[in-house]
Amino acid sequence: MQVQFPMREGSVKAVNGVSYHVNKGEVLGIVGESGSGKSITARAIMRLLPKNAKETGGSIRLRPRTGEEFELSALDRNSRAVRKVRGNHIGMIFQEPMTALSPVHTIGTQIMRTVQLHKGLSKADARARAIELLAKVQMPRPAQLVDAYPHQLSGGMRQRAMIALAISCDPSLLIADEPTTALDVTTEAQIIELLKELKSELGMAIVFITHNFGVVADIADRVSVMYLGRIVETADVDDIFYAPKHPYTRALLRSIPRLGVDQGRRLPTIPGMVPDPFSVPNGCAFNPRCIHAVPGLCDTKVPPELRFGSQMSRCHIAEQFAQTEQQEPAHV
Amino acid sequence: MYLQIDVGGLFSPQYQNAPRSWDKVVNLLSHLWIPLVVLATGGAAGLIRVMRANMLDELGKPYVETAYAQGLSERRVVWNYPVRVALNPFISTVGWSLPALFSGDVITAVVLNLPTTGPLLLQALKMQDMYLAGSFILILSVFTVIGTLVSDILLAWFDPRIRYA
Ligand SMILES: Nc1ncnc2c1ncn2[C@@H]1O[C@H](COP(=O)(O)OP(=O)(O)OP(=O)(O)O)[C@@H](O)[C@H]1O
Ligand code: SF4
Ligand SMILES: [Mg+2]
Repeated sequence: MQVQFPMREGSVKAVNGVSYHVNKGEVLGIVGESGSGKSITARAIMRLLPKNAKETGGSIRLRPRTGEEFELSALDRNSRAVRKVRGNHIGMIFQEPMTALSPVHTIGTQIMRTVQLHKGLSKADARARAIELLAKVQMPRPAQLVDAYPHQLSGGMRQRAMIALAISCDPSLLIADEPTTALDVTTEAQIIELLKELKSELGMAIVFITHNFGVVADIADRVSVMYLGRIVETADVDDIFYAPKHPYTRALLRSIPRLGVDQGRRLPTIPGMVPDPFSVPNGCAFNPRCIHAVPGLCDTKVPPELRFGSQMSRCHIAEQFAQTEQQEPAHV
Repeated sequence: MYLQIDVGGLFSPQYQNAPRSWDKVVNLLSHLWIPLVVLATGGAAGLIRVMRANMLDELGKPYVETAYAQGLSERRVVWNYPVRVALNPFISTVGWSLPALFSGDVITAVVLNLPTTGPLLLQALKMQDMYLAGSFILILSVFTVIGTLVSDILLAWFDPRIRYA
């Protein structure tokens, strides 16, 4: 998948050949620094890219439980076909529970609109369904709060309402774009727990976008790490934590605090800054900041996708990481 | 006289002092449309600018994206969500058209020679008739207060966030 933003200063390749899949009942975590293109990828799936974005290639396919197959990349932003998919087969949760719900409608009205639209329910049935959904996301007093406006709810409750809205039509795919970033850690843990329960209950696939590795370890089955519009590593969640094969993943992991490990020093940070998106470095985009960079190779050739079983790494020297692991496994 | 249309005043000279009749009403209407268009476009232009600025603000808000993500059509999204929110500042100023209704637009009235209270106030000020001018302004103020009250009531009816605050 490729998305660009043509701008006066040049073209921003926000998403530059990202490819991933997520299976039924599976959670794919997507991690990466701010600006790496996580949200743009998610919006491309929903066909909700900003109007100035230009898709320069790629394909997106969705095969929901109903058995049909949709070639989403061929659908227009406002076409009838894509509107049948949105909200119905794909639900989306946004980062900001404070502003992602309409301030002038009750949460019940907003949920009812979706189920009336896709399931053709009557008003009374839709209301019953809204209450049932609010109960399912463990909203306290669902029968009363169905008539509450967003400003009357706490952040955690709003995010629950948002989830109820996203799963209102039993979607096959749920895209959660940093759903817990704006919440405190206790609420975050509750929301993650709720999403896990809903996943096993409804058997949907989840794409979970975050920049928090702790959250990823908690919920994801597989993880993709993004850097500057590319996926640099994809692996099962255990392999990401215990056998990372990309220097960027390793650097990210080193920069999170670990319980029970007295590092006796400051947490290491990744040297340098994320390059600005107009001037993505040649070769491996990570090479100016990479401590393993090989001059002459990393700054000229884009690393290919190297596979190690189910693990994929876009690094010229990923082989070396694979070998050292066999000698002295799992520390990082 | 432009284009054979008599634009000044409320009546043509021959109806000025004539007794009431249907012909006189028709004559009144044929004079009334010009100030109507002038006042309406002038007022609408201002309100449209306010509305446009609000809409541009609202269209980028996350809840609009949520509405799209629900699968609603573009038209339903725009009319049901951002328009509802963008209407607020519009409603809160619409009450001020109440005093304007009473005084009319002074310039329009003077140019078109309409017997509204606008030119009367102007006259009173020119003649330094402070009692007339003072009471006039008092009346306008009272209308402004009432208009604001009407706006506030409409606003509370329209926006739940204001109702409960
Ligand atoms: N409307 C836009 N116009 C131009 N460029 C944009 C636009 N939206 C996003 N971009 C560019 O696309 C790139 C990826 O943005 P994206 O929102 O996907 O980042 P992200 O990984 O979701 O970051 P975050 O963690 O902060 O949400 C950014 O470099 C940004 O400059
Ligand atoms: S390809 Fe080179 S620069 Fe890129 S991550 Fe691997 S070692 Fe570092
Ligand atoms: Mg984002």
